Amino acid sequence: MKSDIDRRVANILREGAPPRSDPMFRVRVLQRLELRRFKRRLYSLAIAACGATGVTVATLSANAEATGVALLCAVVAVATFAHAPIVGYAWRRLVAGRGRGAS
Amino acid sequence: MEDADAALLSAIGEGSERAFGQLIDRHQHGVRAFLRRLVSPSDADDIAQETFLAAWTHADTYRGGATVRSWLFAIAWRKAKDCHRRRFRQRQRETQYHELHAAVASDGVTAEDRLAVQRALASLPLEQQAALTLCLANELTHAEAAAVLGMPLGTVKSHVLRGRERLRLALEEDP
Repeated sequence: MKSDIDRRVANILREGAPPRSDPMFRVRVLQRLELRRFKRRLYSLAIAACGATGVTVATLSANAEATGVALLCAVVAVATFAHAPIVGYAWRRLVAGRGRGAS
Repeated sequence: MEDADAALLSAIGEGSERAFGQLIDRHQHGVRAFLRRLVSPSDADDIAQETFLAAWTHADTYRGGATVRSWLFAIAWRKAKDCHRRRFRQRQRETQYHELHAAVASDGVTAEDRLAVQRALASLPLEQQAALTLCLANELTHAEAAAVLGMPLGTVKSHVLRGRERLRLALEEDP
C-alpha cells in the first residue's frame, strides 16, 4: 500500500509531464521524418550526380563508342537513386512476398 | 491495447504514416514524461522525437517479446543515456532553477518539496533515477522496467527501494 510520502513523490515525479494529447508533437515528429527523407534523397542525388559526371568524363576521354552506354548507365543510376525509397520499398515487398510464398 | 500497438507497428513496418501518427499519439505522453525526469525538457522532446523516428525505421525488428510501450521506453532510455553523457550535469542546474521558479504548487506539493525531491533525484545514479521514474511515475512493473533498462530484476528492485528511501528522507527532512 502506498504511503502518503510515496504519493507525494509520485506526484512530484509526474509534474512537468507533457499533455496526454499533443498533436503538435506528432506534427514535429512527422516533419522531422520528412526532413530526414529529403536530406537522404538530396545526398543520394548529389552522390549519383557526381558518380555519373565522373563516369561520363572518363568515358568521353577514352572512346566515343562507350559514351552512349555510360550515359545510359548514368541516367539509370540517377533515376534509381532519386527513387531510392520506392525501389527499397518495392524490394522489401518482393522479398516479403517470396518469404510468405516459401512458408 | 497491446494487440492494437503490435498491429500499429506491423502497419508502420509496411510504411503506414497514419499508423505511425497513431503510435505517437498513444505513447508520446509516457515517453516524454519519462525522459523529462532524466534530461532537460527541451532535450527530452528532442530525444522523444528521435525515439519515434527510430521506431519508424526499426519497426520491422520488433519481435513481440516485450510490450510496445516497453520497447519504446528502451529506445528512449538508450538515447537518454547518450545525451546524459554529453550534457546532463550542465542542463540539470538550469532545469532545476527554471522548474522551481515556473512551477505552481499542485496536489499539496510545495515548491520546497519539489526542490528537495529533485535534488535528491539528481544525486542518484542515472540508472536509479530511470528505475524510480519508470516504476513510480510511469507505473511500469519491476519486470517491465528491468526489460526497458536491460538490468536484472533484482537490480531494478534494489534501485527502486534505495531511491524511494532517499526521496522519502529528502521529503521528511524538508517537511
